[in-house]
Amino acid sequence: MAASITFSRLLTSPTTTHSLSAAALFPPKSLSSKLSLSPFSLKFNHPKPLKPCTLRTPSYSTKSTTISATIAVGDKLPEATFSYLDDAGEVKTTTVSDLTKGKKAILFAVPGAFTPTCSQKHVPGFVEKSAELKAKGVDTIACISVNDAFVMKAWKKDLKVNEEVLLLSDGNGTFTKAIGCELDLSDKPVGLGVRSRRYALLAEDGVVKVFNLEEGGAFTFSGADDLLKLL
Amino acid sequence: MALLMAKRAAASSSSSAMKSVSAAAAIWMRSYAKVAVGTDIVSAAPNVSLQKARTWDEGVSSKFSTTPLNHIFKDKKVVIFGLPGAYTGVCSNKHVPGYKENIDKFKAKGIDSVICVAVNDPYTMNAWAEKLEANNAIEFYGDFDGSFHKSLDLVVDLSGALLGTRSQRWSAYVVDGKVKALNVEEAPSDVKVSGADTILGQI
Repeated sequence: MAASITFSRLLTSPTTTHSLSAAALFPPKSLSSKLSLSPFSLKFNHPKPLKPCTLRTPSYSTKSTTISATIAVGDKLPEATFSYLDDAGEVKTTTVSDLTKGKKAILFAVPGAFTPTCSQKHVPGFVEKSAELKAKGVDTIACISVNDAFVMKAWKKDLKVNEEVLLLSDGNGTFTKAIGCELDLSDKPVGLGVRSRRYALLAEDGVVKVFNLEEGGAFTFSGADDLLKLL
Repeated sequence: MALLMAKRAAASSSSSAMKSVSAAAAIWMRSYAKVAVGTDIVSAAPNVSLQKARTWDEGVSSKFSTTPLNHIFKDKKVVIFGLPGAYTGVCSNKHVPGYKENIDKFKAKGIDSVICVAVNDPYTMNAWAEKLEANNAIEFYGDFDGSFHKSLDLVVDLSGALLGTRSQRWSAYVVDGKVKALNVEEAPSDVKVSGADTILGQI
């Protein structure tokens, strides 16, 4: 029975109050699936107070979309943990702070490994431009997807990516949910379930400076060139 | 008690990914599946479809069609095996190869299809099948939302190993939708009863 609860939790809509804090998912000692609602993670289920200098797109904006991202320029990225397989094939984790604290970091997300736009355009673009981006002071370039670490590693090999871009797994979609960028394709026959919308963001010391969020999996301004122009 | 043992096991386990998988599964002590010998697999999972492994382009041209279970099982002799995840160690190195290597023996025994299924999307399954060069011998299907495995009560919670809800490691021999033999591993990291050799002996 616990499995079905866990399973339905994985497909629960973003408005659920059960937000899985990163710590509960990656406990070094305990492997129970106990939920802990930390005050930190609860924050993202309530409307954020308006900050005086932040331009925010309200959810009733004139755009055709009814989804608004939780995160915006000027916000600090929520803490979360990603996983990946190292060269020895061991499962390793890294956190948002590891990636962004005291650094200039680009995080870009794709709906799915082994799907065309992601494989043919989005990731290769960042790989090609990685040297130029790093010359402009970017410390970290990471690609995030709601796929498991094994699949991300295989995809990385398939795309022949070396160390230019990190391919990280947001396996349970925790980070994606925390920043409000889920793409729910569960009712579509494509067979992808809940994934991430495509986006590219630049964060300085963990604070979002640029956030280019696409509609679903569209690819209009979340590429490497688009970010390079802004640096 | 099981939880405590599993915690101890987890704490002392090596950093190997599959060990953490078995530790996670140890907490999940399943003792039976909803499916058993004699079950009609299509009735046990009504309205469930699987997605044949394919590239995105093939998906587009087929309008992302899904395959209902009775298309897979009706009037056919099928050997089907499920595993926790594409690209994971035991699945890639031990489970699939056995079936691939023995495909001629399966065909000689009148098996129409040998099918591999996992809770992965069909694009990942396709890329994995190509990598294993097993696409010609074995038919790969994705149970992307786990509905097939959930209906048969063959799921295991591998969130502790960062995989989420996945399939148990299992194999079955199904004739015209009726389960004739069913083998489910105690721990998903083992291939003790769900390998090709075992089920060959059960046909």
